[in-house]
This record gives sequence, C-alpha cells and structure tokens, in this order.
Amino acid sequence: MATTCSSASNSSASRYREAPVIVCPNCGKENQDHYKFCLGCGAKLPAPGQAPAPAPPSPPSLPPPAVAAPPAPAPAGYGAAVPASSSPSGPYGQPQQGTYGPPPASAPPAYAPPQAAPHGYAPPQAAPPAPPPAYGGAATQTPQSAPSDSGFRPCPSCQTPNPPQFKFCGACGTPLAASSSAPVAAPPHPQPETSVGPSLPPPAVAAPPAVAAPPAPTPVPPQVEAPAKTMFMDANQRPPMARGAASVRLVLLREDGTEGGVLVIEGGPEAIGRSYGPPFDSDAYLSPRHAELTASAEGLLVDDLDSLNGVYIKLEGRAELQHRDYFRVGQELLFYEDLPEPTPTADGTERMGSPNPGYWGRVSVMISPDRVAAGFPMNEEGVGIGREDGEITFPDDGYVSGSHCRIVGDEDGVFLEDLGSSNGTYMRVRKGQVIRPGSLILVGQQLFRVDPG
Amino acid sequence: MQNQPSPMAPAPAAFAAGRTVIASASDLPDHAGHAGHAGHAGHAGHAGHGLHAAAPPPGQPRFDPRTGQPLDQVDAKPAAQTMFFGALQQQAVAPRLVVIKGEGGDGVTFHLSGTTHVVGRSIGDITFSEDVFLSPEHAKFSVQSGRLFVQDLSSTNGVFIRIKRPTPLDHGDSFLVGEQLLEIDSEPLPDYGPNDQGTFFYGSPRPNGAFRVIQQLAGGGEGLVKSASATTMSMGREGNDLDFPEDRFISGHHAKLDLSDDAKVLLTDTGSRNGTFVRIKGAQELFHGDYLFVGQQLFRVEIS
Repeated sequence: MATTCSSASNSSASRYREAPVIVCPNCGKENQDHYKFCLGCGAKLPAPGQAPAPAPPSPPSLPPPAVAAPPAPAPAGYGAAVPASSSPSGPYGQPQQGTYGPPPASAPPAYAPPQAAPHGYAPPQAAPPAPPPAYGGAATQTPQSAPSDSGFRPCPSCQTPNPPQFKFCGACGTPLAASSSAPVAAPPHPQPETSVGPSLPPPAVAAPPAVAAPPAPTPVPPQVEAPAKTMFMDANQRPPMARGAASVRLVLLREDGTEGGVLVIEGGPEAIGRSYGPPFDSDAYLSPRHAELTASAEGLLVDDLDSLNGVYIKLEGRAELQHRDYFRVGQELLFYEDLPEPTPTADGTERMGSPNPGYWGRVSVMISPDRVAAGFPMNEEGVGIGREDGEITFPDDGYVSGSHCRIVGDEDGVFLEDLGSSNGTYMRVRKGQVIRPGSLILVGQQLFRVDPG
Repeated sequence: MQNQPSPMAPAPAAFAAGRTVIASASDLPDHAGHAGHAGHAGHAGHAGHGLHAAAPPPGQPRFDPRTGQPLDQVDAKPAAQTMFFGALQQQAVAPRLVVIKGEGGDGVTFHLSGTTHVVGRSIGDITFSEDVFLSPEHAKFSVQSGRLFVQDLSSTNGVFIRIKRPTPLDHGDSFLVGEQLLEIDSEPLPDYGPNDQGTFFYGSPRPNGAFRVIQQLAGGGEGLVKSASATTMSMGREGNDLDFPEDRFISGHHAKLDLSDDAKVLLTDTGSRNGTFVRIKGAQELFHGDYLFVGQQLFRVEIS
C-alpha cells in the first residue's frame, strides 16, 4: 500500500479498454488477468496478452452522469484505470480497474480482504501527496500524472492536485476552496455533510453547513440532476438537530483489510447512491438513490430506497431468515422464501404436482431480479450450503467455502448461520433495520465498517 | 350436446352426443352383452346420459359416474326404465377409454359412442366425484368422422398424453415423469445490462444451461429448479442430471431433454416403464394405444 494515489489521468474513454480481464473463450465470463482457469467454468484461459482485451462482451457502458460525462483526462476519474496487471480482487469490493461492473459473470470484487488491491478513495493520512486514488480500482502502481490543465486544483496545504469536485484534499483533508472553474462536465454532486474525504481525524469542518446552521444553504452549484438536488433539499429540510446528534462513521475497508476513507453520517436521514458523489458515484451496482442512512444511538438505520441491489450486512453467528430475504454466499445471490400453503382453487380442485414431502422453504439462485437459475426446496431440519459440502453446493464458485453456511428450520423459525466461511455470508438489510456498531455492511461493491461516531 | 338418445339411429355418429357407455373390460369384445342398458327416457334435455350397465358385478362401478347416485337405486325402479338396444346396433365400434388406474376400479371401459363426452369431477358425461384433481368440467372428448380428439376445458390440472416419440416443448410447457410434474423454462436469460436507471444487477453468475426445469409441487408452489448442463438434461431415479431417488414411479433413466435446432426443447422418453407425459394444449387427436392422464385417472385409448 505504498503510494495509493493515482491520478485520474487516464481518460475515461480508455479506461475500459485497459481492463485487465480475460474473457473466457468457453463461457464468456470475465476473469482477472492472472487467472489461468476460468472461475466460472474451469476452462483454461488464454494468456492475458492474447485475450480479446478490449471491450468485454457486455461492458456495462457507463451510465451517463458520473462517468460518461467527464471529459477525458480529469474529473470523476474515480474509477481510474489501472495498468493491466495491477489489481487482483475478490468478490465484493472493487472491480479491478474501475470498470463498472464486471458483468455479473465476472468475479464480483471482493469485500473480504483478499489480496492487496487498495482501492480506497481516500488515501491514508500518511500517503504521499497525490490526488485521491481511484477508488474504482487498484491504484497502487498507477503512475501519478495529474495534468494540471484538467481542472485539478492543488491543495493549499500539501499541494496535492485534487479533482475539481473535491471539497477536501484527498491526501491531507484540508478544505479546498470552492471550485469556480470546475469543468461543466464534472458532476459536482453536493455532499452536504457526507465527508468522504480524508479518513483520519475528520476535519472539524467536515460537515460544514448542515450541522452548524440547519437552514444554511449549502453553496453548491445548481445541479442538472434531480437526485442531487433532492439530496440538497433533504439536507435543508432536516429537522433541527440537537447538538449531540447521533453520528455514525462508515469506514471503508479495502480489499486488503486496511481502512480507506470515512463517511460520517450525522443525524440523517442522508441519502446515498450513485448520484451522490464519492465514494459511490462510480459504482454501477448502486441505484442513483440507493438508501437513506440515519445515525441513531443504537447504530445506523438503513432505509433501502427500493434499490436494485440493496445493502447487505455481514452475518455474525446466526440470524433469522424471513420470507423473501436475500443473502450472499461467495458470488451467489440467494433468495429465501417460505413455501406457500396449498391454496385451493375457486372450484375446489386441488393442484396436481410432484409429491411434497413437507417442504417449508426454498432457496433460489438469482441471476436477475426475477430469474431463478436453480432452486432448492427444503424439508430437512438443516440444509448446508458450501462449495463441496451440504445439500446445496456451488462447486464452481471459488469464493464459497467448502462448508459455508447452513439454514436451520425448527419450531423457532428459520435461521441462517455462517459456518466460519472465509468470505462471510451477507444478508440483505431489511427496511428499517438498524445496524449495530461494529457490523460490516456491503454497499454496492464497497465494504464499510459501521463505527460509532 | 343435447340430443335424445335415438334408438333407431343406425350409426354411432348419429347418436346422442355425450353418450357414455360403461362396460367391464371383460365385456369389451362382445358388445352384445350389454343387455341391461337403461335409457332415461323421461329426462329430456339430459342428453347424453349414458347407458349404465345394470346391476354391475362386483368390482364394477356402484355409482353413477355422472350423478354420483348409487346405481342400485336406479336399478330399483325398473318400471321407469326403457330398455334400449342401441348398443346392439353399433356396427363400427366406438372409441373407448379404458381406466388403467383410477377411481371406480381398473379396467372399466367408457365407450365414447356419441360425438362429445365431457369428463369432470361433477359435471359432464363421465364423472369421477372423488378425484379432487379433476376440475368440475375437465376435458372434452369428441368423435369426428371416426377420429377421436381431446380438448382441455381450461382445467386446473390439464390433460397429459404419453409421448411416443421425441416431443418438442415450448417455454412453460409441463410434463410428467414418474410422479414429478415438471415445467420447462426455456426463455432466454435476459441480456446482462443496466436497468433504466443505469444500475446493474448484482446477481449470481449465469449458468451455462440453455434451459431450466422447474418442479411444480402438489398444492401449488415451485420446488426444485435445475439448469441444464449446456443443452441437455437427463432425468430419472439415479445417475442422471436430475434425479428423484424417492420417486417409485420413475425409471433409472427415464427421460431426457435436449435443446433442438429450432430453439425448442425436445423431450424424449428413454425407455421408461411408466412413460413420460406432456400436457396438451388446445385440442389434440388421439390414436389407438394412447395413454392419458386426466386428473388422477389414467386412461388407455382404444379405437376400432
């Protein structure tokens, strides 16, 4: 983790092409460039060089606002490109190279602390001066070459060039003067009090306007995008907050386990999503308005705004599994549902079907919001899930532990229990669920630890 | 399907529609044996209630399949009955449904001597009042120019016919393997791409199978879902892509599915003992030797 800082010097246009992936000739899955065999189907992969490098089959072309907009060299370069070969990554976490979203087939980046692929959007305090690294990708070896003509502004304190939309220096946290010359294309999403910048001691001003004087209009340039504006309104409409308003810190955890930036939630509700700037704006797995976070004395209240992918919490021990809960195991997205009681039809006819030995629930493997790739009805007291062991196995998913978790159904209810898996089991946060401090939550591809403020 | 039984009608085609004749299997070869048919002459408009074998021997239906009334009561009023000898006049033999497995004793034969015969739980010419898997009015059998057709009357559970050759299935088609009711899901997986908000779905890796099979559970609800391995899936009790080890009616290697060139999925019975059945859509012609599941009733079709 030496230098972490990358400039967002690579043009966004070229970023995707440099994606260090090998597309499996057999199944089309994108694999990291150091893989010798396809993670999806096990087929031998061509060497990186001969891989059909550019433009992966279904390269999620970036959604307009955050990425497509910025002109070549500078702003919004969070997803900075990395030279091929740089960043390994595991499930949950950053896709290597800031492409947004590897197609689902590609290994979802790791949230677990796998290899060493820093992707923090905010460099540690100690990091040498440099613009904030691309949190969209491993920046370690990215040459630092921030063009000065691209709207970057040097930090008044440490001289680190910062992208125009930064309100605080990515390197040292010093507040940056309001940018008057931000390129039009830069998506300067207002960040009323979400301080995503510097990690360590958040500058006192980290959450400037809203906290000090609630009605104070945050000096943010008018936004073209509705969501951003909404955010602004939210900030203003927040009820006056007691001085000791609860606050919660979301500490970004990098793939190597080190801490990245910090997002401070004071009071709330505060919306997060792809339309709300760093560190979320380059994550194509986040909805524009993804969730609202509210700090409370008990922890962090997460209100999913009907987002596509939700927010997940790492399971500690066991937790109750309710009808229509989603959970993650390795690369798999699983869905639990109670099986319905037989429903007689209007005319009294019973539904014919396969004998039902008393199934009480079913786990489905979801590949899209409404398509099931595999389903497993359960009638045993417990059903094991693992790569090798258990009734439900995922032999092709390298991120699933041999014996990963189990579902137990008894008279007390249905429970999901992690069996000490390497990468953990994550449950989708339900509406209104409060996350206790110390928990790990997965927001899009990024993993955060919830700390008390 | 109204028509009075017309004793003088010379040919089956001219007979009252919906007439049902019950005979024991042993009577089959000799239709002259149906001496005791009772015509309900007084019930005009009750066309098609067929002729019931009088005083059925042990093992024969003891209830009127149409009304559920004990046959004894019917027979108890011989004076009200008019003897009908129409069956004797049948030259061409009407198509028959022989109950292989089901209510009222195996081997019961229903002669489809009218033009239409409705099978159901409570309504129709042939009823099985205790089969809860039958809709009140379930299926219609029609005889046209000596050919027999069956049509599903929008029943809950459908009509299944045993396949005799590889049969193409469309997305959503159902079939029976042993006791398993399975549905084919051959709709292509959606393209991977962002939704209208530009957000990508963070789902499981996509399987490489070209289609999926969904187990439909009794009482409703989906059970097992299995993806094909590439373009094929074998099914049976053991050693297949999809096994049902608990199913006593399934053969070791029972059937298989293959993606065909025209993007349909071809269902093939691989020498099973009990056969593989597909749910019919619309009307379908039946031939001698066909087997049908209607509710829990398994019929063999005999023509000529």
